[in-house]
Amino acid sequence: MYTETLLDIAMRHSEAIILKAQKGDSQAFNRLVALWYKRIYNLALKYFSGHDMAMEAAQRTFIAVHKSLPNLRNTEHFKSWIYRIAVNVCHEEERKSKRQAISIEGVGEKETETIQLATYGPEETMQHQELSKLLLEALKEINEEQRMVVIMKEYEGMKFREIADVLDISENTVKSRMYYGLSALRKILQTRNITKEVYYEL
Amino acid sequence: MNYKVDESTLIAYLYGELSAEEQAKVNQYLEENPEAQATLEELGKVRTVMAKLEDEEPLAPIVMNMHPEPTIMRKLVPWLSAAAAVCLFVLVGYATDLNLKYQQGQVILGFGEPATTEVETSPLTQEQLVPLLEGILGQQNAQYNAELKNVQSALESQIAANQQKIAQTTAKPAPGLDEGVLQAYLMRYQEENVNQMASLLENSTEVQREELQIFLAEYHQFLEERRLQDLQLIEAGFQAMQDNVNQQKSETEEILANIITSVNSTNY
Repeated sequence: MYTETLLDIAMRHSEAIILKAQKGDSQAFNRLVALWYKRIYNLALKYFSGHDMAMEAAQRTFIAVHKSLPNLRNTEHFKSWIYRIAVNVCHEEERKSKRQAISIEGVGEKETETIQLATYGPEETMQHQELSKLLLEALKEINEEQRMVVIMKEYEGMKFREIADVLDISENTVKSRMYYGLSALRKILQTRNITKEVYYEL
Repeated sequence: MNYKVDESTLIAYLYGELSAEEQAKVNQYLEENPEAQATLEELGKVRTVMAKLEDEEPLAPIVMNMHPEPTIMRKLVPWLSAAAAVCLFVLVGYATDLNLKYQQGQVILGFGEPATTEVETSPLTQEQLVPLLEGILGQQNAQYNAELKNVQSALESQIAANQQKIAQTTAKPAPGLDEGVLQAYLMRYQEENVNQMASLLENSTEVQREELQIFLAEYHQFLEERRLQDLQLIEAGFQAMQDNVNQQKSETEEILANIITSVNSTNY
């Protein structure tokens, strides 16, 4: 479940940085990237279940942000604006990857795994990685539209109203996608025998 | 009661995004409908499991290179500053009556009116120089000689006074002390010293031995603990290595399986 960090608080008070970046201040823009990169990368990581595509999507998102930032009229809407760009980039990347004939999944996953090694003991790391992998696979299996709503709600901690704004759909549709997304996840987790009890054992 | 909670309301309830009034209604509905309550609990469990998927630290974020192209003014800045420096130098020079001259291989910088008296630069001849130097050296030698004589006489008088004092002290023997008594006293004193030294040494070696034994025991204990710790560390290291190998093995197997399925799917 989503808990607010210091970075999130900094992100909520980044209006001055946004204004500077809009005027072409490269330092301010880099700070903006530093503030938001982790969020966008993790959104893409959960959407694609792969580090390489997540990196690609995050980079493309920030290139697009750099290009269109001067056109953003109301800086208060920055959050939904940047998520909208990220969501669009993710959809585009997904379409591109589907067009590619052969894709070997899991080859480029080495780097994220080594980063995780630092925070857990060897055994814990392995179990944690296995569970993370299973959960990412479960997310990957549900419908794209539901997946994006689940990610934004569950991992980005957004309100249904904000998600509706980002996706340009009604709040009820968002809630409905969330409901069916969670229900689909429940079935997947059941078939793979990943229950709350298993999670506690791990 | 005909109130029916739809999926959207249920999900908003799950995430606490309902108004107090709506929430109360749903609470009541859930009490009356255990099926809906069960569904809600199931969804809550899914959330708990999915929350295990944590954020990952991305690699260093990209840094956008947004340095703007230098404008004509920016390009001109170094030249303009050099020109400004020259102008400033000229202005200050004018205000302070600066005199800049190049004369006989030297650059002469001066302020105000130029000096009217020319420095005589013709060198002295050898004939003029020799008597001049001799005169100076003679004067200095005479001065040194006089000082030396003074010091010598002062030292001589001091030596004479000291010799007189020594003669006086050696001539008078200490009153009331026989040489034999002095000798005996000295011998006794020496003997006492030797005894004290011996006891001191004996005591100190005993203390040292005890301390050394304690130290050795402690050091042995320390080494033993260290050895056990090292063994534990080595064991943990081997365990971690084995885990890593297992992990890599499973990864490789998975990648191979992926490749095989990909190849198979392309073959069909």
